Amino acid sequence: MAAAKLGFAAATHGGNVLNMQIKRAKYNRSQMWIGYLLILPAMVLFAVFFVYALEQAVKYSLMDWSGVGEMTYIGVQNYVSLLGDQVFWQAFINNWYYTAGVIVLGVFPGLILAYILSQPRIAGRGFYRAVYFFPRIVSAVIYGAVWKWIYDPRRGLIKVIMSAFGNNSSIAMLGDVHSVMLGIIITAGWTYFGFCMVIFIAGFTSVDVSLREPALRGGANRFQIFAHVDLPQIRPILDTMLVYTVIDSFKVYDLVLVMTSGGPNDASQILTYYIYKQAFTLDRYGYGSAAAILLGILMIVFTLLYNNSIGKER
Amino acid sequence: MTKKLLAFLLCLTMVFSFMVVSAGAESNNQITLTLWDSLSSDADNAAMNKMNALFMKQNPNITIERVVKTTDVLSETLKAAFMGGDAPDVIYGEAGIGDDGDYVKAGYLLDLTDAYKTYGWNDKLVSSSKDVPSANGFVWGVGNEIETMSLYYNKTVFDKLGLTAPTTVEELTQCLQTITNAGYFGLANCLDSRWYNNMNFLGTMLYAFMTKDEINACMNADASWNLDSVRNAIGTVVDWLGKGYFPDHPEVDGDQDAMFANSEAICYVTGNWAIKQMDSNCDFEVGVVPFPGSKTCADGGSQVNFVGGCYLINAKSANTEAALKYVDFLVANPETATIWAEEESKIPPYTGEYSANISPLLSKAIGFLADNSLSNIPGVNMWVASNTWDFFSTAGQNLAIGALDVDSFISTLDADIAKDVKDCSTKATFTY
Repeated sequence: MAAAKLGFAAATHGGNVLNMQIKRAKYNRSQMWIGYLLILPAMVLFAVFFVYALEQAVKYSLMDWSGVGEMTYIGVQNYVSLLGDQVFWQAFINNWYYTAGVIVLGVFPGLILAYILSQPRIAGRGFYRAVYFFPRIVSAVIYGAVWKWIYDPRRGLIKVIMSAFGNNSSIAMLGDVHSVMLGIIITAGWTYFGFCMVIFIAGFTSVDVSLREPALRGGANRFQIFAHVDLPQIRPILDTMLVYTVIDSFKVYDLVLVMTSGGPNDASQILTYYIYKQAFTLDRYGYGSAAAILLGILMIVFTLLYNNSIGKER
Repeated sequence: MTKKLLAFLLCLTMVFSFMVVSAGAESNNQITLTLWDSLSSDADNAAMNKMNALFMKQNPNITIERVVKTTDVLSETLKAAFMGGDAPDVIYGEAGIGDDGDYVKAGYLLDLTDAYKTYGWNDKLVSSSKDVPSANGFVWGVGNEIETMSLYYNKTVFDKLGLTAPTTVEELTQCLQTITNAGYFGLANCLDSRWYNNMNFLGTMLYAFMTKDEINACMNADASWNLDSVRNAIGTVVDWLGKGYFPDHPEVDGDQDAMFANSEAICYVTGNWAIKQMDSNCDFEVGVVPFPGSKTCADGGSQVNFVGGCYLINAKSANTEAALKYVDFLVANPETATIWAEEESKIPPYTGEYSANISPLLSKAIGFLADNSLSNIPGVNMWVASNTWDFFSTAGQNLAIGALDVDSFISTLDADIAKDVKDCSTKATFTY
C-alpha cells in the first residue's frame, strides 16, 4: 500500500513535473515565436539590403555589363583582370598605408590624450574633450576642402605661414606623388584622434584604480603604471578600436574625392573610389562589382587572422 | 431592412465608381511630362522654371514635373530609373557618346532623326546640336548650351606690355614669355585633378595643331593619334610647363577664375561659360579672340565647341508627342533663346532671330560660332568613349608632374582608344 502510495505520489509528482515541463515548453515556444516576430523586420531589411545585394554583386562580378541593357556572362574574367590591375593593387597598398597612418596619428594619440584627460585633476578637461572631438562631427567634404586650402601651395595657410617667416618656397603636398597620401593621412588623423579619445576615456573611467596602489608601493613610475596596470585593462577596447579603424579606413571615399580624386597619377587612389570610378564613371559595373567582392574577401581574411591572433594571445 | 440597406450601399458604390471613372476620364486629357535635369545653379534653375511656366501657359493641358539633380546624381539615378522602367519622359543631361551611348544600345532613348525633319531643327539649330548627340545614323538628343573655347586676356596688361592679341600659337608663346618676364603668370589655367580643366585645355591645344581631316579621322574613324601635329601640340604644352607659363604647381587644384580676375594671370583659355563671372569680377577690360592656330597647321587650326547639355527623350515614354513639342519649345523658340542668353549667359542652339541684352564678351563669342572663316568642331569630350575620356581627364595633370611625356601620351591614348574600339563604343564602331 505504502509502495502503491509512494508509486502514486511519484507518478503524481512526476506528472506535475511533466506538466510543468510541458507548460514551460509551451511558454518557451510562444516566447520563441514572439522573438522571431520581433526580429522579422530587421531580418527582412538584412535579407534585402545585404543578402540580396551581395548576391546581385556576385552575379554582376561574373558579367560584362555597363549598367544598362543586357549583361554578358564572362565567368571569372573580371577577377583575372583585377589580379593584374596595377591601379587596383596600388589602391590596396594605399588603403593599408592610410590605415597605418590613421592608427599612428589617430588611435595612439587618442589613447594618450584620453589617459591624460581621464585624470581627475585636469582643469578644463570637459572643454578639451569637446574641442578635440569637434572635428569628428564635421562632414568629410568640409574638412577635406579646408585642408585642401591649407595645403594650397599658392595661397594656402602653410604657404602664408612660411612666407611670414621669410620662406617663399611652396610645397605642393597634394600635387606630389610622394607626399599626397601623407597629406590625406594627416587630415584623416586630425579628425580621428578626437573620436578615439572619447572611446578610450570611457575605457579609462572604468579601470580599477585600486590595482595601481600595489604598483606604486612596488616603485613603479607613472608610465609603468599606465603600461602594465591601466592599459591591459582596456586592452579589449584597444583591440576593438584597431579592428574598427582598419574597417573604417577601408571605407574612406569622400575625403579622397574632395582632396585629390585619386591623383596625381593614381598616387592617392583608394579602393572605394576605384570601385566607384569603375562602376559609375567608366560604366564597368561587372568589373567594379568584382573589385568590391575581392575587397570584401580580403577584409574577411584580415578579420579572421586578426581575431585568431588575439585569441591565441589570450 | 438588411436587403434594402445592402441595395442602397451597392447603388452608392456604383455612383461613386462612375464619379471616379469620370474624374479619370477628365484627367486623361491632362498630360504630365516628367523632366530630370542638371540645371541646379540659381540662374539656371530660375530660367528653367521660367521657361516651363511659359510652356505650360501656352499648353494648359501639359504639366511639367521637374526634378533637379547634380550631373553625377542624374547619371547614377538615370541608369536605375531606366532599368526599373520609371525613367522620366525628358532628360536634360550630357550629350556625348560616352554618356548616352549605352542608353541608345539598350533602347532607352528615342531616335530623333525624324523629329529633326518634322520640327525643322536641321535648319533652325546649329549643326553641332545634332552632330554631337549622334552616331551611325542614330540621333539621340537635341544639343543645347552651345559653348566655344577661346583665348581671353587682360587687355589692360597687354596694352601696358605693348602686346597685341596673338594670331598664332607661336605668337601666343612669345606673349606668354613677355608676360612671365614681367612677373605675371602667363596662363590662369591649371592642369589639376578636375577632368574639365585637363580635357578642355588639351583639346584646344590639339585642335590648334591638327587639321580638320586629322581631327575627323580620329573622331569618326578611330585613327591613331601618332601624328606630327599631336606631337607638336603636346610638345608645346610640355614646353610651356617647363617655362613656367602656368601658375605655380599647376597640378594642384587652383581657382583659375580668381587668378585671372585678380590679374595674377593674364591669359585664360576657357569657354563662354566663364563670361558671367568675368563680367562680375574683372575690373579691367577683357579681350577675347578665337584660340589661335599654329603656323604648322595646314588649315590654320579649329575651334573647340561643346554642347553643354542635351535634351533626351525616353523611348518608352507614353507622351512622346508632348515631349517633342516641349523640347521644340525649349530649343527652337526666340522666347527661350532670349532667356538662355540673357539670364544664363549661355548660347542657345537657335539660329533664328531673337533679341537679347547680353554682354559684349558673350556677343563676341556668339560671333565666333557664326564666323564661317573659323572651323568649329566638337571638342574631344563630345565624342570620346569611356577609356579615352578617362585618359584625357588626367592627361594634363600627368604631363604637369612628368608622369607622361609626348611619346607616352600618344601610346597610352592609342591604347585606350583600342579598348573603346573593342567595346564598340566609339563613333566609328557604335552599333545599336
